[in-house]
Amino acid sequence: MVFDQSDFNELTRKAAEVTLQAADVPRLLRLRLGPEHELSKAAEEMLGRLETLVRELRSFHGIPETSPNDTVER
Amino acid sequence: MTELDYEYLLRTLSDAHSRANEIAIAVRGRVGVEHRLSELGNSAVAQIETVLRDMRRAVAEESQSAHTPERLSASDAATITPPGASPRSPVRSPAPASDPAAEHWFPAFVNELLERYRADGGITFETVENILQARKNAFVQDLLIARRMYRAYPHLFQEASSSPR
Repeated sequence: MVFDQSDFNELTRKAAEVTLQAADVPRLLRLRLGPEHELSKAAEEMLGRLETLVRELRSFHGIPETSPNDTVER
Repeated sequence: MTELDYEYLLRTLSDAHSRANEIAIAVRGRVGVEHRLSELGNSAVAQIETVLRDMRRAVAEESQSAHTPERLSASDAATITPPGASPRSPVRSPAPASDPAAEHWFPAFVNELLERYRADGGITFETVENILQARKNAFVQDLLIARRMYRAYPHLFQEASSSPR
C-alpha cells in the first residue's frame, strides 16, 4: 500500500489539534470536581487515547516519536 | 460546576467527537480497518463518546435535582417531613455562578489553611506556601480555560450575563 506523506502529515496535524482542544475537558473537570471524580478520570483516559493516536500517527510516517507536541500540558 | 462550564464542556466534546471521527474514518480508509492506527482512532472516538454520554447524564441529573424538593431549605424540609420520620438532609446547592465573591480563591484559601491548622494542631510556612502555590496554579489554569471559553464561544458569556439572576 502506498501512503501519501503529506496526507498523513495533515491527518496528524488535525489529530494534534483535536488533542489540544480536548485537553481543556480533563483540565476543567479536575479543577471543578477533583482528580478522583469518575468524569475526570474518564476525560483523562480520553486525552491519553488521543495522545497515543497522535504519537502513533507521527511514528507511522516517520516524525520522531518524542515530539514535544505529543503530550498536552495537564 | 456552573452552567457555563457544562455548556463549554459539552460543546468542546461534541466538536472533538466529530473531528476525531473524521480523522478515524480517514485513517481507516488509508491503512485498513485491521491496522493498529485504525484501532487507536476508534478507541479515541469511543472514549470521547463515553465522556460525552457521562457528561450529558451529569447535566440531566443536575437539572433534575434542581427541580426536586431536595433543594428546599432545611426548615422547609422539616415542615413537610412526616412525624417520626427523619428529615432528609438538604442537598448543598452549588455556589451561584453569578456570585463571584462566593467563588473567590481567597476565602477558600483561608478556610483551607484553617482546616489544616486545626487538623494538624499547627502549620508551617512551607505548608502555607505550598497551599498558596496550588491555589495560584489552579487560578491560572482556570483563567486560561476561561479565556479559551470566551474565544471559542463568546455568545455563551453574553447569554450568561443577560440571563435573569
